[in-house]
Amino acid sequence: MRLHRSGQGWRAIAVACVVLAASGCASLGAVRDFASTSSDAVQYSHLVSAYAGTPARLKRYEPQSQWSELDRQATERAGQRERLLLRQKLIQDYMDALGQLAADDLVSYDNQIDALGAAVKNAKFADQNEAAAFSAVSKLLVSAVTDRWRRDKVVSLIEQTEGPFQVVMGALVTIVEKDFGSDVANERVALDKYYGTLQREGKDPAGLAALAEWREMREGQLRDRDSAIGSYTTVLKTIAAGHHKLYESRHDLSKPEIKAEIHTYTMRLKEASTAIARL
Amino acid sequence: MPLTSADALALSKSFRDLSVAIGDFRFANWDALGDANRELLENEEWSILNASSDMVTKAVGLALDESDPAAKKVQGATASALKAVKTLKDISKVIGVATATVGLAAAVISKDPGAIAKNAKAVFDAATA
Repeated sequence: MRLHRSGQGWRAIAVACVVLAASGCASLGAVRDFASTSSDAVQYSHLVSAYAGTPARLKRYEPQSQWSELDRQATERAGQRERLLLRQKLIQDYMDALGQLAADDLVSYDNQIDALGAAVKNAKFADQNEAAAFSAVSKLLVSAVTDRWRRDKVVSLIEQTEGPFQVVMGALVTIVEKDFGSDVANERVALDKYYGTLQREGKDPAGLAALAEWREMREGQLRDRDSAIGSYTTVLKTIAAGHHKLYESRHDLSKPEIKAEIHTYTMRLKEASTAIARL
Repeated sequence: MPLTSADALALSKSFRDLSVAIGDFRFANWDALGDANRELLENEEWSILNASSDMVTKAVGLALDESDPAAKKVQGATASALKAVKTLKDISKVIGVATATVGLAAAVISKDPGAIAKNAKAVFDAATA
């Protein structure tokens, strides 16, 4: 079919499409950045491994009569380790999917449509001006329609996920902050009992000095783990709060003030991740 | 009533506090206790501390169990989002096929067998990309 239209007709369609595109076009860059940073930040397996390894470390301090119980706990925690890592992976996968859906380049079909315009021209179905107008109008129509569709998908994804997402994040926060925190507290008690008893029984000054140094080193390791727990808890709480912000602002995600607020969550995540990386 | 993750965590703290209290008593009465009583108390301390550790394990397991249904919902939403991403990518593919098809149509009109074969391959490549 030949695309015969007057120049005026094409201009009218083009103007209509510009209006359509302008009304539908939405940059979701802030959502994409938040999702991508969340995906990176949530991938921290060290604390899960440390938790799973606690019973084995406690064997250093405890008499052999307690080892069978510690072995049993080690087996139970090894199973939990996989589940915990899968839970982190779930958050990572969700954030990756959200980030991909919010990626601006996902709805840019300019190159393909330019090629289509050129193919129409070369096939002699249209002259040069008609082919250019065909490309321009197609570009605007496709962008406007797909961008609007994408924005609706992002909103509906955030809307349907918010409830269960907060439950999952809440459970992870409790596990990391409270349960892993208690695990470190237990290891600290074990360390105090072990070194306290040895130091009480010891008579050799050189031996006591060496013991004090070892104790200090082990205490330093526990302090580092406490710091990592604090920073990773901040990461998890920020991801949860940031997602809640996305939910609250889901119909205004391209407003500059909302983008700025989402950006603050992204920056907070980067800071907490940097603190973890320094440990 | 079944144990919750919060109950398990609270029990863990109680056991830990008890183990610390017995340890404090042992150190405070070191000489008066004598070797046998000290060893007896120390063993009790370790058993109670391990009970605390076991309660931490239970708390983690229960927190995971309690949030499993929500995790499945997030998993489902993630699959839907990836399907939407694929749909958007498919639009790009459809345009590519349309472009190649225009070239094939022109080749057919021109009755050039070489061009028809070349453009037919282009359509096939675009459709199977």
